Amino acid sequence: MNPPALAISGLAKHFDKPAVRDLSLTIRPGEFYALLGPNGAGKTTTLKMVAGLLVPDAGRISVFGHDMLNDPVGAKRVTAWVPDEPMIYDRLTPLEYLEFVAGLWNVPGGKAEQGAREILDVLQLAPHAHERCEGFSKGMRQKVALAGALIHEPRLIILDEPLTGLDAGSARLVKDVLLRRVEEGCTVILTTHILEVAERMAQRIGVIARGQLVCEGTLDELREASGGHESLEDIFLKVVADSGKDTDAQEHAA
Amino acid sequence: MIRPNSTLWFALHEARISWRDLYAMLSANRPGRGRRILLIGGAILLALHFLAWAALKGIGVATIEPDLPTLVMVSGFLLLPLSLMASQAMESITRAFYSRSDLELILASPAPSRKLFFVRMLAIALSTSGLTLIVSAPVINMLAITDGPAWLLAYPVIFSLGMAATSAAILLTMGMFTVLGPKRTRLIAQIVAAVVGAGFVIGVQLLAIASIGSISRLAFLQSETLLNSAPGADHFIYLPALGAMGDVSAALTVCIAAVALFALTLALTAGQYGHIVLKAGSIDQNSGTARHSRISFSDAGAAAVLRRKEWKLLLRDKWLISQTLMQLLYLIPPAFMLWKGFGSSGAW
Repeated sequence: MNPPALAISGLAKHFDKPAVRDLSLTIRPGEFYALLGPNGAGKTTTLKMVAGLLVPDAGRISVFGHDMLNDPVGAKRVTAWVPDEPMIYDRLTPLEYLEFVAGLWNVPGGKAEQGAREILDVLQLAPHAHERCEGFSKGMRQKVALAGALIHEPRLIILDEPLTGLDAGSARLVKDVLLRRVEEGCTVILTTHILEVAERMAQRIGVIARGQLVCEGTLDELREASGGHESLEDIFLKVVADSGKDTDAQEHAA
Repeated sequence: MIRPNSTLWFALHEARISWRDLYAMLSANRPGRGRRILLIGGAILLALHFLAWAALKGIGVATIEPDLPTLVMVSGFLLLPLSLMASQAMESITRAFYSRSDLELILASPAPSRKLFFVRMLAIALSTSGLTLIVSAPVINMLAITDGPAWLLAYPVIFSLGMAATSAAILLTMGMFTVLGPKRTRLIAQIVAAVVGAGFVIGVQLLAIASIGSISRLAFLQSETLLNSAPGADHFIYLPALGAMGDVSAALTVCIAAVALFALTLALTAGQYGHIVLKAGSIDQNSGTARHSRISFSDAGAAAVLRRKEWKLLLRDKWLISQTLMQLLYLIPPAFMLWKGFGSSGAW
């Protein structure tokens, strides 16, 4: 039996206050999963722990069977992480950036060069392949970062707010690229505040509030669970509000 | 063909980025200015060499002998940049731990972070020595021209001191990180760096004022008081000074000792780099939420609001606090001198 693309159990992270609390989540290979939540809900913290950029206080993370704490190299080898404000080198060209990222993942030179040219072409960055990134717009930078995430052909792509600040054309392009990857068997997890994106693209949706997963399922399952609300926006607002009441009640009781 | 993820591969990547950053800074980010930069840089170097030649002509280079007074003076002048290098290295290391820059990309990859650590620490050693080497270069070169090429050994000796200072800074910063934790270390490392940087200069000046009544470091380093209490000329503490003055075996000993110390430090600490950066990254999430200051909306006007906002931001800038502290520390010797000269007599 194939291991899940991502299996999280009992995950917890505490800063000055709890950011993630006893979070468990399983995502199947080849799935497009949207993680939603209000600001400060713990989405980015969760994804950073999955990417190996934060050490959890408790819990386990397994990526395609590789334990992130015991075998981080194995887990990172099949994972790509695109933060909400991706870091790309201003003084490198997109092609040089991809050459560097391919090197980090030990992609053989010939394969990396061919892959880089193809990805830049798909993302409409080919005309700018030899220009330094310092003058690039937010959308172009986001596309360069996405190209970096795709160059090593990861099995799991994690994107934190990948569409924020993109114009309609760039957003469509990024969505198409992600959907094509999912069709090819790749697993995609993204966070977004644009609920329409989750509604249209995700096979399953999870909602995090106050560091906890408060509901999860396909859009139809979420509609059913929320008592017949039609739009994801209504469902989202209801479950977040309900979870706030529940947590407040628990805190009062405690 | 260089193997990706090797130390050399990381070094070439860092060198490429640093070179392009430097060129962009020197050329104000305008292409095609390379020749102009070379011409201006060459002219400045030439002028500095002329100044060095004029200064050395005045003291008579041929008379320099490795006797006790000379060794004490040269050692003193080597200790001055050493403390500044240690301070600069500490500050750079703290930034390397806390600034995320490209670390998220690299730490999210399967690449070994210890190799990146090695390259970044070597770069810090190079950059901390670099400034001292640039400042010293005209003097060293003119000494080599007028008194023989043995003086060129000062270059590897100064670089070795930079490596030693970087090693000490790595151990100190990592020690603080382990003992104090990531949150406190960020501020305290800055303060310690400021104290280390200013400490030697201030210490020498205070001793000079107390013993000979002058703030001059040169006068103190040549004073009878210091020479009488200094170890004999054959003591090992003069090895860097002897090496810098052209003694091959002393220079070699200093270089080997510095390389060994640097290698040992990296062997002990490189494996923890990724872990430290991850821990340091954890504190950024809520760094501004711990304390709630009282907010008062007032009708004081735009200028007052602007002033209050600037003060608030200045007080929250940890880098600025350390730099201000450094400036304040430099005021101690003149204050001490004024107090010693006028304080007791009340002659204001």
